[in-house]
Amino acid sequence: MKNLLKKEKHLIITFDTMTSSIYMDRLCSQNNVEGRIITVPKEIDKGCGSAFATKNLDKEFWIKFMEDNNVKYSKIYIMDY
Amino acid sequence: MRELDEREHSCPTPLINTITALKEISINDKVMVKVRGDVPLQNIKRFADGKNLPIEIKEIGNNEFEILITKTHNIDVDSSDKNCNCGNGKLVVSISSDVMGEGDNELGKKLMKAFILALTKQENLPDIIIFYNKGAYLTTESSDCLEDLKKMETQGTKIFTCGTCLEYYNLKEKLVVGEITNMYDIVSMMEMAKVVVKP
Repeated sequence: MKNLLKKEKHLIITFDTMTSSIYMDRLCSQNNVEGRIITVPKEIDKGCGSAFATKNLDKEFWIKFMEDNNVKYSKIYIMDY
Repeated sequence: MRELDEREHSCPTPLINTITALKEISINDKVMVKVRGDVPLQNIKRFADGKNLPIEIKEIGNNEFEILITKTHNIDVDSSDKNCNCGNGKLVVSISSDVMGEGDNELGKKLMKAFILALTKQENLPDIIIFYNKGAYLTTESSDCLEDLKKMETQGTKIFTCGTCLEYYNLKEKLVVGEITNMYDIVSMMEMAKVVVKP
């Protein structure tokens, strides 16, 4: 069955380790912050890493959120997902 | 009354022939259809109930049934009405747990959540997703996969959860997405599928 679901703009954060992405996902759940763990989109990396995706596109908010919670991230992307 | 003997026909033919007969007969006329097995019976019953057509079912032999449907009003039929639950030639995803793989439970839950999200990102969506055993947790209130499952359901993916499993885990009243199914339908859907994907 053809997939007709539309992609939406997301901010995507990648990490060097799975542990970091799980930690980020857990932090967001605990703080009621919107976002979820995903598999890294193929457009970013063909490998099998995990990333964090959110519809909140405020890059500065996320950088501060990660700095405040001592989360080590790799890169931040904004893309249709 | 139109009489159909569909006992030698495999799914989805009994459902399609019943729909065709119902469209052709006049209002207040009846269709009497004989089927063999629970799957065509449930498919025809589901269709009749969905169109608010009165239906009577009588067991006439070993796993054979006579279904009497009265056409009380004209019915609109679209292509989705002819989708039976037999899985014939379809892409079926079978989910038996709320975690993906064995090992750390938290990682397994994250992987399962990512798997279901990834289903929504493929070029083709599953035709059918079946949840059983602890997989039943994923279609009920506490699940964090509901948004993705509902998205696929709006696109036509049929979602089924094992009724025995819902009862066992006391989840029957907490089902949020899809329908309840039984082992006969589960086996039939898997047997008739083009591909069964199991994470």
